[in-house]
Amino acid sequence: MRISTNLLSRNVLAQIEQGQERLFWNNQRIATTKRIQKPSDDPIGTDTAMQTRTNINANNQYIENSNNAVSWLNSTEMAVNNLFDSLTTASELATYGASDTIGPDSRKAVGNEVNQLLEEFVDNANSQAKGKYIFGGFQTLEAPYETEENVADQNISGTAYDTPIDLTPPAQMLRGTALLTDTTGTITYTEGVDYTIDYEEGTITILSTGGMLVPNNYLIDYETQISGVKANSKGIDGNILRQISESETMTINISGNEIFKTSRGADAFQALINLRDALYADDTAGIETAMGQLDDARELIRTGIETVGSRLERLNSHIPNLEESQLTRKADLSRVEDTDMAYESMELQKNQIALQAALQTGISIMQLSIVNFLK
Amino acid sequence: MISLSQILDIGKKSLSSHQYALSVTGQNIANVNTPGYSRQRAIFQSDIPIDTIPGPVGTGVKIEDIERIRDQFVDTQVKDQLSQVGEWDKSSSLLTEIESILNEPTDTGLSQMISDFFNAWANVSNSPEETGPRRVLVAKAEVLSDTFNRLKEQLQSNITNINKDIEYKVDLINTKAGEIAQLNGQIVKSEAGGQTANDLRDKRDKIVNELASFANIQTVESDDGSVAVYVNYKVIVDRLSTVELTTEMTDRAGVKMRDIMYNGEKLEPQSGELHATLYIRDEQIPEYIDKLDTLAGSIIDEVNTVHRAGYGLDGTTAKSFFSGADASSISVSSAILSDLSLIAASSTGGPGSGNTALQISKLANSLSMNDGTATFADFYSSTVAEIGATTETAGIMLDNENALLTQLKNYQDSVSGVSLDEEYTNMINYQHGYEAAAKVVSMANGLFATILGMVGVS
Repeated sequence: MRISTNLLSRNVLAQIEQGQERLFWNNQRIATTKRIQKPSDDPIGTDTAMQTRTNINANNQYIENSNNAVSWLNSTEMAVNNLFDSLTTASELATYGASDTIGPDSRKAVGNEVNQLLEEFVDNANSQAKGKYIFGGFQTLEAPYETEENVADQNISGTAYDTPIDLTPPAQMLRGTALLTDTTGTITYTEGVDYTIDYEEGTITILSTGGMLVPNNYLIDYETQISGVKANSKGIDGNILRQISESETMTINISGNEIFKTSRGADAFQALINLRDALYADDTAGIETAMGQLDDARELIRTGIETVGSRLERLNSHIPNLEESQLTRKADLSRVEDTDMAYESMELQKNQIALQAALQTGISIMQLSIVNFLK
Repeated sequence: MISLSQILDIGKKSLSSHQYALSVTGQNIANVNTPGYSRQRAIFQSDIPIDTIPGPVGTGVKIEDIERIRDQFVDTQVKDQLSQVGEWDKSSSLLTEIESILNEPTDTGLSQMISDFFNAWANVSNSPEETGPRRVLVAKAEVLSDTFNRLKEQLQSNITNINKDIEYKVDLINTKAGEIAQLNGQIVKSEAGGQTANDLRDKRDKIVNELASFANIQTVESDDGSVAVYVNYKVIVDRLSTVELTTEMTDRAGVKMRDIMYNGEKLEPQSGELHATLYIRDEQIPEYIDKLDTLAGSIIDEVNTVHRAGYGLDGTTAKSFFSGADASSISVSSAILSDLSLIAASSTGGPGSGNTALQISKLANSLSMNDGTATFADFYSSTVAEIGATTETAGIMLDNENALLTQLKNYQDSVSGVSLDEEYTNMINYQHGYEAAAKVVSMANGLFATILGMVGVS
């Protein structure tokens, strides 16, 4: 083939340009650590990489959702354990209160303890996790349970000063709610000045140092201790869900309707109220009935504990699985997307040598000319 | 008998022929780096002999012709190959531009935005009573919308740029056609005497090759030396006259596109840069825009359908989350932007329910695209992969066609290219010939002097 001068130099130039371009991309891939600089570098690899990324992102969210569920369930676990313990203590008190060896005063004292338990129980039933009520179903911003107190009124015959007058049992007054007036309701008397109330005994004493006259009739209004517990009228049902994997959605909450007060009859609140009132009324038969109701209530809470426990167990093995598959996916992504540094460095060296050789040989053949030899 | 002056004449003709040949050599050497130059060769031809007794005697040498060394066949091949290279070069560069707009696979492309958006819904479902996650959701939704808007806008501006490019290229074609027509005139005039107008032809061929990279060019040479040039079989140069190409803006599906017109009809070159440009602008970019629109539209529809069945924090229902219908109009509804409590996370109205938000976040996995066979992410990633594959193919084709072009050009060069070594060698030859011719002249001169001396004139 006849070689023209331009052919030579053009070819040398083309080889040098090609060599430089190869080095350029080697450098790019090493410096950015990405093997795929743009989709056309590896279209199928790009598709795989994008899908893997999408999966990794979704997985991160499932891990987040699962951790969120664990936190909720931990709060629930604590609350149901407390509730169970309250009922256990109440059962023990009931047993003690039912025995023949104690008298009405002791029973009254036990009744007060039971009342304390009841108040704690209601508080726990209104437990919150991060500001949300956990037993309230979808109504997480409002307390699921509200106590009811009766407003009672009684006529009192004040016969003598400084003598305790019994109020009709089992009326137990709530402190600070008493309103003592004369029969017409026009004159109000002050507690501590005109009369005192013994909340433990359930009696009222007219003070001689006060402004009340004896003998006289008076009217007293007061709120009793908790007489009932009712649920939020908006309803406390609703399954709060968390998506813990692509195919699994888990209910994390237990509604009060499932473990405190159900349509099947077990009602923890009523059981405690019944026990307390029976103790106040010195009613051993009533105490025994209440004990039976307590057992039913405890059973219900126990199932709640089991439900929470099994959910937590499931998450405890699920979350590490998610985290491990996350690692696998990230390794997959790296394999597709990232530069194989060792390979690329070797290619870089190879291409450098090739470019050097091309430059050297190119220049040497371009320098050969007949002019060098003409005299 | 031969007269002395005839011998002198032979010497003289040899001198001038060799001088001529040297000047042609000089011309070749001078033009070693001129692009498109074909080497010329002085053709030595023995001059017509005279009949004498005892026999015919030669009358020296003359330069018959200055031959332009050219292989017509490979020239045509190179011209056609230039169209191919032009086509794939343009295709590759336009497609590379498009795929770099997409910015994938990275964690800042649309794919990531879609993931983030649906994850934000999951976070709202985890805390449906709180404002924080809602704020984040709206932010992610806005970024998603902006990304859609921006991608479509950039693709559309590519169309606008292509329109400008077409206008520019058509002007260029018309200008070059005019140049060819002018050269035709000059060549016809100069070749009327029988010689080939080598340098003018070189120039004309160079311009034809420039045209060839834009479109498929056909040429027909006539006897008078002029060349008729056709673009896609439509004549644009005929001897000294030209037909101009024009452009016209039309509206196709709401997008302004500039068409090439020939005498009122659309001209669509079958190869060359313009072919690639028109194909990408008319078929491929609209297809990609359409896919973006379909994706955005589906996301809007699916999200809104679920959202409208849910309840906001204030108990309202039947509200849309997105407004708009395609990639350029998608945006978060202004009602939601001004009141985050309208975001319908709840399935019943209870504030603790995030089940509608959960359902929306699950849309990421639902097979909403391609007749129920692909998720949003799948649809987008396969679109990106498709664009990548098309671009990769264009790059490979370009490399292949370039390799072929290089081969053809190398062959063309080996025929028409100047080899300095060869020219120097010829130069030495012609120098010797010139020196020898001078010797002949001086020898003839000597003979004259001898004769004159013979008759006593000194």
